[in-house]
Amino acid sequence: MRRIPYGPVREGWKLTNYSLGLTYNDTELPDGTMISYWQEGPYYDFTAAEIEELETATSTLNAMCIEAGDWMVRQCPRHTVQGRRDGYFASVCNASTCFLAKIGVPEFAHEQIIRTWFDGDAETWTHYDKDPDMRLPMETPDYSPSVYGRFDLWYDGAGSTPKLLEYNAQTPTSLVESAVIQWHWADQTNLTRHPWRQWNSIHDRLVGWEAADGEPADPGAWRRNIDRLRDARTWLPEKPKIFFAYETSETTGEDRMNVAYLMATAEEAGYPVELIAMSQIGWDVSGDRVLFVPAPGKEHKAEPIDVIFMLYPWEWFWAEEGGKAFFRNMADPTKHGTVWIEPPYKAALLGNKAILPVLWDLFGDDPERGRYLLPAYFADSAKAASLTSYAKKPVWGREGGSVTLVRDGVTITDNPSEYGADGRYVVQQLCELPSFDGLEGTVHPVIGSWLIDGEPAGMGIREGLGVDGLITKDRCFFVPHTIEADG
Amino acid sequence: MMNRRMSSRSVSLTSTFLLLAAGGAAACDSGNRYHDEGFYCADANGVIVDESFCDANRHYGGTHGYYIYHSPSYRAGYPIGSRLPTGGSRFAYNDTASRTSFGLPSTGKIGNGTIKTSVVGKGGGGTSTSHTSHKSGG
Repeated sequence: MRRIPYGPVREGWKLTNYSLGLTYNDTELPDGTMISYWQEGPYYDFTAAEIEELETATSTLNAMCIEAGDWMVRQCPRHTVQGRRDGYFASVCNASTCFLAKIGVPEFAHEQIIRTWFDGDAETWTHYDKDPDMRLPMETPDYSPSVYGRFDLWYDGAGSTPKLLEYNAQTPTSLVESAVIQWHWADQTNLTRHPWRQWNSIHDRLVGWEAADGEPADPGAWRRNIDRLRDARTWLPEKPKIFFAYETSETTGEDRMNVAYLMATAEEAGYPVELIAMSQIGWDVSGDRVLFVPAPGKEHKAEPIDVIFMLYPWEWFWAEEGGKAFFRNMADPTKHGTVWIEPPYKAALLGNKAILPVLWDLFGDDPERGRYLLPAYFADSAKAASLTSYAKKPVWGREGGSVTLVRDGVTITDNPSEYGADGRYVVQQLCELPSFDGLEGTVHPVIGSWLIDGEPAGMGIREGLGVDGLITKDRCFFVPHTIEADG
Repeated sequence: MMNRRMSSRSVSLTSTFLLLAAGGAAACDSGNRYHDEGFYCADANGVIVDESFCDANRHYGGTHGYYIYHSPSYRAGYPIGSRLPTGGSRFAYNDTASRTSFGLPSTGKIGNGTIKTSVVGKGGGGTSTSHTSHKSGG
């Protein structure tokens, strides 16, 4: 792993990137200066062995996260039919009885988090689990599609071991940059003769491919997931319409283009799609349905939403007005409730930073798998005090918000934000990002390692500048990479 | 050696996406259905006054010439006494029908610089005073 500070600068690169979807490149800092999010010129270069190491780490981390999720759902009383019976009219989940309550997940959401977690497994969450009195005709298990996620890894090249910093499981962004912009950069700059060129199969893994050159065909993440959903919900049409929702109050265009790109891959995979605003998701009170409402007053033009992807954190969603109703709709034992991509477990179990202490507790002693982890504890636990150099992070936090880095008891950098207001934090042993010399000063890369449909799919590198850049935030740069570039 | 495991063979983009990148309106942004509208209380000359002058709950003797000015081009933070940029529209401070149509409270005070996101959005109720960028990803 090396950083080349003086790479080629493509003529008209800004316009090229823009036309490929990077419409949110220019970032205004609080002091009014503009920075370019995409860095043209510098790039990172990896050996094939390093890429394979990152790929193995990503697979292994994903497997560990699945075991950690299994452990987490078993710590909720609603995991059992009896627990759900007891909890039908009474509250049975609180911080002392239920791990999900302890980490801040509202009780009304627990059942659907557990259900979506077990969906697709014929043994663990059957019709009987949803309808214990068997009042309705028997149904086969449901399925909850999930297409993507991103691990943020520490890595310093050959001789070091990738370490999990956190898992952006539900709403990872920088997808356009990773999948599209840097791929075209590699295509245009042509810096390497290695057949892999760049670790980046995100696009192909989303849309699938035909068999060619001795490689078998692959249906891709969308078709694989929607096919499985249709197996579970046989009433869905062959090509169900997939809605894609984003929050329009995010005005830079980043959310919009990330969602639009995912939508474009679903479209390429053959599905009818529509891009909508979060505010156009409506609730039909009398019909208990989720609807696409083009505008208030246009309810007669509303359309039921069978399948929807939303780039909107579940932990915001379930605290809002419609939250409870949408979870009740999801609980329909006849499987006619709206299907949400990514499922709620992505935020509640995997994207929640509470997974970091759970992983360490389960695998910290495992010599093979534990090496990809850093010691982590709940901030209010006794063991947390054993760490004198640590990163303190809110369990619900994004873009590095409210993260504090402490070295030998002294704060080296922090990033105050509204996150963490609920007081739930974890601490993770400090593992400062590696340093490289850049033209602007010392830079610190973090590896964003993508999962598409549960498989490692490539990487995007974000780079922070100086001590402030040790916490990766919104204003950190995106820097492309190659595999075994010449020279 | 399986190359596809590591690298996309081609990254082609659908026309829907490319049109969006080219600045085309997103499906939900079409027309004027979704935009930020800024609101200020100002006098007949468009000079910003304290928002209490547009408080329909306050009873002033007789009529007075204060208006709620609005425009998608208004930003938050213009000071009292400054003149609003040209190009806005206005309605009388106590025009309840106009207030309601923008999702504003039908009576009472409207903070100067209120930005309504999705004037007709959020399932009909409308959200208000959200002029910070609301990033959902990470």
